[in-house]
Amino acid sequence: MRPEIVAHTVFRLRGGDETASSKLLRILHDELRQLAASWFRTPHGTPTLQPTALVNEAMVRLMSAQAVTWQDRAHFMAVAATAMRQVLIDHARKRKAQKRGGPAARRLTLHAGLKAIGTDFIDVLALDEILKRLAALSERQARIVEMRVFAGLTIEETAEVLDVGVTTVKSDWLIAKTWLKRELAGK
Amino acid sequence: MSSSQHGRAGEVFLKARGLTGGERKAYLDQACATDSSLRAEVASLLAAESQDTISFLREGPLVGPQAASMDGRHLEGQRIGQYTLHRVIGSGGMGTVFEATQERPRRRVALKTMRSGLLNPSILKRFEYESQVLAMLRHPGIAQVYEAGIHESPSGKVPYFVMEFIEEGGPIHEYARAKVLDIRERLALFVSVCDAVEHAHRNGVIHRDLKPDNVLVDKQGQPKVIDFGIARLVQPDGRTPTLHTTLGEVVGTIPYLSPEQAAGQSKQIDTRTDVYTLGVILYELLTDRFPYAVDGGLADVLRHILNVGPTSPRVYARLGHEVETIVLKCLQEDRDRRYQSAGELARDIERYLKGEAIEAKRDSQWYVLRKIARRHRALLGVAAAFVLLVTASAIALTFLYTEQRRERQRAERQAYIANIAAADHAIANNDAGEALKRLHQAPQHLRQWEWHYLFGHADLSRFTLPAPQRATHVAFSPNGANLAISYWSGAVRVWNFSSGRFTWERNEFADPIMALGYVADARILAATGKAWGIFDAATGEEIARGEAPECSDPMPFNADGSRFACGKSEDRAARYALQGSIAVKDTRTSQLIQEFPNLDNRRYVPTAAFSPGGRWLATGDIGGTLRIWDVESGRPLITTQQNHGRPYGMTFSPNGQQLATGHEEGTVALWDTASGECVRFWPGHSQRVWEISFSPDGSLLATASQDKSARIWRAGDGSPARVLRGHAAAVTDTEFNSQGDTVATVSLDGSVKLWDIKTTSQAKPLLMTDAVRSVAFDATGECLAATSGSLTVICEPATGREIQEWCGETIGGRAWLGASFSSDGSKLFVGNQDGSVRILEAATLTELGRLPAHRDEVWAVATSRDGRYLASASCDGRIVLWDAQRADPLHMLPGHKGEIRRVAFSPDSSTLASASADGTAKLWDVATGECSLTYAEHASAVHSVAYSPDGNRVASASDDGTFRIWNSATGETVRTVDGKMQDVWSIAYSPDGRRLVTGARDRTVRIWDAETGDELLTLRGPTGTVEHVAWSPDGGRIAAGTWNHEVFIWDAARNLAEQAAVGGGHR
Repeated sequence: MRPEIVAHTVFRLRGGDETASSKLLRILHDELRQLAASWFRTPHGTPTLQPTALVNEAMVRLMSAQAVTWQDRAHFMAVAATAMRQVLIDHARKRKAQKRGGPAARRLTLHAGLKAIGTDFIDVLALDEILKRLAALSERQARIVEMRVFAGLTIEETAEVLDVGVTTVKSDWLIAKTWLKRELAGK
Repeated sequence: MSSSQHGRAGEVFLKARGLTGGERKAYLDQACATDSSLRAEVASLLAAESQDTISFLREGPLVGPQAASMDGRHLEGQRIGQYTLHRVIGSGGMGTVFEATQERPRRRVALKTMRSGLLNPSILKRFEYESQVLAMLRHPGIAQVYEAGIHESPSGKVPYFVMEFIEEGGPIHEYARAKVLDIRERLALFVSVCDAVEHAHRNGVIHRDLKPDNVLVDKQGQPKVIDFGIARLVQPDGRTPTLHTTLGEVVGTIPYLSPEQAAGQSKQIDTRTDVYTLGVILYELLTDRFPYAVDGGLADVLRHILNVGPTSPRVYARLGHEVETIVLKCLQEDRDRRYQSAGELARDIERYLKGEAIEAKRDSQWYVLRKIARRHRALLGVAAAFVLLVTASAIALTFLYTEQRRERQRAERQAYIANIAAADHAIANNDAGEALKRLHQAPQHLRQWEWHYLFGHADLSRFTLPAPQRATHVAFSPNGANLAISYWSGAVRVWNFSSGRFTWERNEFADPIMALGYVADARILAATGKAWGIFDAATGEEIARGEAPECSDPMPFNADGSRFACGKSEDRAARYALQGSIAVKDTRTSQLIQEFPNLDNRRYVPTAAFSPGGRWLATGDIGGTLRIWDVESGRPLITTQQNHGRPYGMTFSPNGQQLATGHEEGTVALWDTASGECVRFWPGHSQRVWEISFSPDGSLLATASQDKSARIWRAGDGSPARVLRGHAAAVTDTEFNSQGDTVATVSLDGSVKLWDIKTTSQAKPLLMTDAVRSVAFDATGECLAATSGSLTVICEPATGREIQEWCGETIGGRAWLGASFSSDGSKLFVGNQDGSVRILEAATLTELGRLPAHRDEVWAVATSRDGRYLASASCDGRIVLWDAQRADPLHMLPGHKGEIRRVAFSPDSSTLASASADGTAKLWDVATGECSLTYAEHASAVHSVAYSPDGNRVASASDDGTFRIWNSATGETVRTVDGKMQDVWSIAYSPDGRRLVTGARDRTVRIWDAETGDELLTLRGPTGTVEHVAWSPDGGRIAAGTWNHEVFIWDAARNLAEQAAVGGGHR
């Protein structure tokens, strides 16, 4: 995929063009799937995967770095979060169907650079299910979690993409993550 | 659990997590009183938060503790030392004031906690010393400081003051207004304020932060100055505290700054600083105004204080010369010319009151002249020159006639430039009134692109209704097809959008109409303070009318018009009566449905609103108390005291769950109608908010303000969505249509304006993928091509929307360079890095062919106006001239010793101009291919050349930071302009030849007078070096491409077209 086409898709995305969003989602889905597949193929020490690292790699590959403003990056990453989530779920489902390994095979570290205190791994399918429930209660909170967790967007980037204030994102994030924490603890 | 329950639980959770122990419990008890499932949900969230188990969720924002400690409400009920805190009675940037009880002696006190901020041992020591000094100040006019101390709280040290509690204290000017004091009474009251300040001065304490809010008048009518010397305690380095606080307070305090404070000269602050501020308070007390214009930004106000000087108070109030002299003496910029003490000021006022001669002298004529001269040195120079001219004209009349005319033209031109600059500045500050005033001052024959550009941007409204009279209110019909407008004269009119005319008009009332709306069955209800009428919305036929004899205030009515609310004053003559109540009556019968008692003994302001269903009535009073009443029972459901000043506009959200209020100080607040709590609060405007309204879906809020703007906010988080700039005076009403896509506003400038709030967004630049190398209009100006790296784009200049994009096969990042349309617009020629020129079909951007022109990058391409020639130029130093039709090379033009940056054909297509890095520009004969002229005046590389439309001049822009205008026949330099732009990358003439536009490395696009070289306007936007600029052939638009990937289009086309249509503009 030509970087300038991706850059232009992102530009149109920022202008609120819905077709651009689905176009970019398709591009990203393919790219991330390839990246993830090659990652899963290589024998790593731990069965953990850092989605944010993958998403960043996808960005470097798809967009010529000098052309990217932080807003572009935010919009790109927001779509990448959705794509990443989908790729991870697809992968986990496949694993499950092939019965290769138990739940451990489906576990991932979700946030780069954060050393765990308790739960180091999260079951992707369980998280997906909980996020769907959160989306029913608050679409925006679920979207914030998706962007922050699957693509590592900052608060400011999240606010830019959702076109709401930073304060709103902050308080929504606080509520959503506490809510998730409780739900995950219940698992 | 539903999403609304989830939302509510989230809100409660956010609040509760900022509280601890008993407070949290108390809050939860109150917030979840009847809802046990809510309570359980919040409790489990709080519990989940305290376990730190899941790593990825740990990283997050911090909300809560800091916010809570700022407003200090969490301290209510707590003890500090021997004081029990009861309730917050005020809060601000410096801290929070509580009503508190002291144990021994048992008395009511005011306790002020200070923001701990930057506490260090030396500041604490100073705090202790100074608080002892303050405790020694004893005067009936000074609120006694009893004690100061430092409270050790779990969250850190909190310094606090304990002061005398002022019973029912209100700011001095509100007291004077409420008691309807006359000028002499006001002066007498003010003398005792001066005496109090004098007492403090004698004890070595300067107030530094005097303002009406710090001069309260108690129940007995005794003024009490509060917060003496506290400014210094908080900011021991003497800076003015309020400059560093939040916006709301800045607005409240800045007008009271002395020039030495405004200039930041803290060393010059002495007792005379307080004298100055007393002067401002006296000015306001006598006139209800500030001595300066206090609208505009902070910088403007400071500038007014420092440079403009006070307006005579006699402009606003009936005052004698002597009072004026006293006030102005306080307000002298030079401290030595003020009263030297507050006592001197008090004695002079007393002399006036006794009828004796005052000591203050009016400024002598000579002094005034000198002062004016200092402030307007430049202007005086012109005046002096003119005087000289007149004298000399007697000697050499003929010579001077031309000289004088030239002088006059020069002055006129300078004035034009000043007006353009001022209008540009005003637009940046959203002051459409000032901008339009300045633009209208510009003589018609001088108005060019920059004028039309600014004129089109001063007013962003979609449409302005004809304004036969001053309007008071507007209301959209439910189907959005009509707009009802009411007037000060008592008239009501209905405007139809499809016909663009008023469909009917009624002149039934003698008073201004204060309430207007569509009510049941498409009727219009209009009400003055005394009467009301219901009209058929379609025909204007009167259906019913009635009187409201006891009403003293305007009347809001409920959705179906069956009831109205009005203020009811015991004594209608007394405008400032403290007594009064509010009543809800039946519209048809005038029968009293319910009367709401005056609980606080304060006058209700004409601010009230029915809830959408009509069950509730919200009211606000001058003290700032908001109440929501149950209309049927007459009981207050919610009572909230807020500190944002008197509420002016209020409205319920469409679902009735929120109440929005706009306040005296420009602030906007959202209240939960169930709990009465403030959900959201933001600074909003710099001045009073007159009216506020919700969009039909409740997602947006529109506010109308004294600051001449209306603004749109997102109700969800209070973030700004749009500024509606365009009115020349205060905006007093605003209303959404039922589709929520249009807002109508009413202004004291007399006009009613309509705004598209969905479509008129800020123009964003078109973003490319790399530095933009070239921008080119086609001959019609309807297409703009831009090249950048591996991308070529065609967009529509009117909308900025991209039509076509093309990459071709490119190598590396910097492939597409110069571009030019064929004269008929069917083809686009684009230079490539590989040395070829590609021929593209303009409509589809498909490649038709290529010209293997050069050995190296083709930086510039140009086409002649007659369509016969094409020129390409390369960094190999060569220019090739082509037959554009047959794509045959005609001439090779060697001669430049460096890269060639740009080429341009003369308007008659006979000559080609080239700009080269070798520091020269050359002119070439197209027919022979000979170089006819070499211009070598520039000090370094020439980046760009442009022919004037008459072909007599060439403008060249250079690396040396200048552009030069020279004679195309002789090569003689006509003008050299050094605009301090570093490299000037690009230059273009306007199609009429009167203007030039430049793009430069300093990231500016500037407009110049092509004849005089005067700089006229810098266009806003670019964030990178501007490599290329182009002026559209129709003269309406300017395009520019930057190294930061942006393509900008600045548009004056619409306004130019309108002007041409009415024949008003000079083209």
